Amino acid sequence: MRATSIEDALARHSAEWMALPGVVGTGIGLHGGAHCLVVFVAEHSAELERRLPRIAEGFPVRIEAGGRAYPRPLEPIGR
Amino acid sequence: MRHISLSARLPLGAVVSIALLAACSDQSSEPPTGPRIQPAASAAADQPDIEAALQAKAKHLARLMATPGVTGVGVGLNPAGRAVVKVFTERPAVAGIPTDLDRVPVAVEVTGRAYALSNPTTRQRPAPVGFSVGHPSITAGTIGARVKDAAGNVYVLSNNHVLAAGNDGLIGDGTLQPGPYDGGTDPADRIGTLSAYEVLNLGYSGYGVDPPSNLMDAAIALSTTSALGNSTPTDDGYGTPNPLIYGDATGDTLFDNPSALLGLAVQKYGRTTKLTRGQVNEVAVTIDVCYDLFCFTVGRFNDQVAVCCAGFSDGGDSGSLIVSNDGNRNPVALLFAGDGTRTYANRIDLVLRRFHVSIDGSSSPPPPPPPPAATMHVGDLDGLGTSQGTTWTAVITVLIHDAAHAPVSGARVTGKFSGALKSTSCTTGSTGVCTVTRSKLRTASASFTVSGVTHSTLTYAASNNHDPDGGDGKTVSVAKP
Repeated sequence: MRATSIEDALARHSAEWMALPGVVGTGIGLHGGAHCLVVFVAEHSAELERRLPRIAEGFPVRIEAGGRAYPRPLEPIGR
Repeated sequence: MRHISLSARLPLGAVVSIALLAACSDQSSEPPTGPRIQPAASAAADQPDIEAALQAKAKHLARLMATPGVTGVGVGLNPAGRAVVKVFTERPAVAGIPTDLDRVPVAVEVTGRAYALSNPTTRQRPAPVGFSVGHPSITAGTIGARVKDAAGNVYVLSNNHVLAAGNDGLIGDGTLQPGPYDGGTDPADRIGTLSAYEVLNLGYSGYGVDPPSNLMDAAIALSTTSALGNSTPTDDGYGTPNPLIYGDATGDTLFDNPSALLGLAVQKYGRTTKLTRGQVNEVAVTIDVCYDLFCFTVGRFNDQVAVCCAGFSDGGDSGSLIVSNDGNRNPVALLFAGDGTRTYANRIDLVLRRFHVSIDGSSSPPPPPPPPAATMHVGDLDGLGTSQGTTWTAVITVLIHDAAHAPVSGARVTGKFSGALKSTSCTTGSTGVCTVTRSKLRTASASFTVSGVTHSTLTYAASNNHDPDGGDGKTVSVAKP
């Protein structure tokens, strides 16, 4: 049994993960129908795969690579 | 921490040149207005039967157009590259169409009828939810919702970077519908004035420095019920958003359990991608959002909602309201950003609470459908590669048709080459044709996607796009020569 909620687990680890170069976000998602922690990265790298855990406080950690996020007015900034 | 101006950095590049292409119209035989461009995949202009097809079309045009179910007639090429008379029909198996005319083959193409679907880039009063809007110094975003305060005042709800130009706006500035990129001017097209915005906290990020934190990119503009509707378009929208937010059984105007949003099917109607559907994939999201090209200026957004997947939104959809994809249409989030796989949105409960407003879902009559509008579409889209030794140039030729498949002059075509940072535009000449080019290419291929077409009197109906070469009339690829 996990001793913590996933919200608390995210709160404890988010700052640490956001400080890693290439990490652009964190959140709570689903993995096989159950809650998981999510780390958004600009792109996959072996270094991030090595430095990010597979499980944190009993919750699976899913890594999502989607590039950088930009606002979405017409002619998006940054594109 | 600093407040960053966004309006000065919005790119709007354009390269224009004009050429002629023989395509599915008899107008293609007019003298060229620029260098003659040959279609990459055919030798249309060299076909000796083009003239015969044009003559056959002219001779039989009136009779064909009088045939019930026929919506247009033109001249094009069949897959073998032979000139044919093209007959466009609103349904399959229209009777009375010959297989050939004066020994020129007839090719039937079912295009449907050119209905006047809502065009959210146009001006409309009252302005529907999901239509183009913007501060005078930006390009365009989306009307998220009509919201109201306790006194009954109504407001446009959208993003700070849409209504307040990313902190540049002053309270009282105009709110234009459509947004400036879509032709809105101040004060003629005002539907409101900037009333309040949550300041965007943006700053440098990197080398151990965290960007400033935010909860939302949101603003409201004071409006009226005569200028602003509270429903998405009646023909292709989702209806009126529910005044009650999703998952608030306690009625305290906050989500009872934000994690309950996970997996929720959602929808939105936006200025660019119109009605799209997705799913909440992540909640409690912290995401760093780049507010300049090189991502030097960043805002960190906490407690966000992430919606999957690519295609749910695109540039111009900023400010759209995301609601549940069910009969209830409960508000969920305010769209403001995205990356390659996700759309990011602010929690709508926090946004509404910030401005002390609620979604105005009262049962006022929905906005009337747009008046019948003459439409235009892409009638041909071709690409050609020319070599310059170690580099090459892609030349894209676009033909714009009206609803009767006649060439349209003065249409401004905008699109983007693969790998390009900026869009490119050109304006059609008397033959309905214009070209865009991208030079110094070193890639094995390049593609060009038409993102929009504007005209002083005609409305772009992308769903009617067609290409006699078999493409969709929206994207064309060119191989390195």
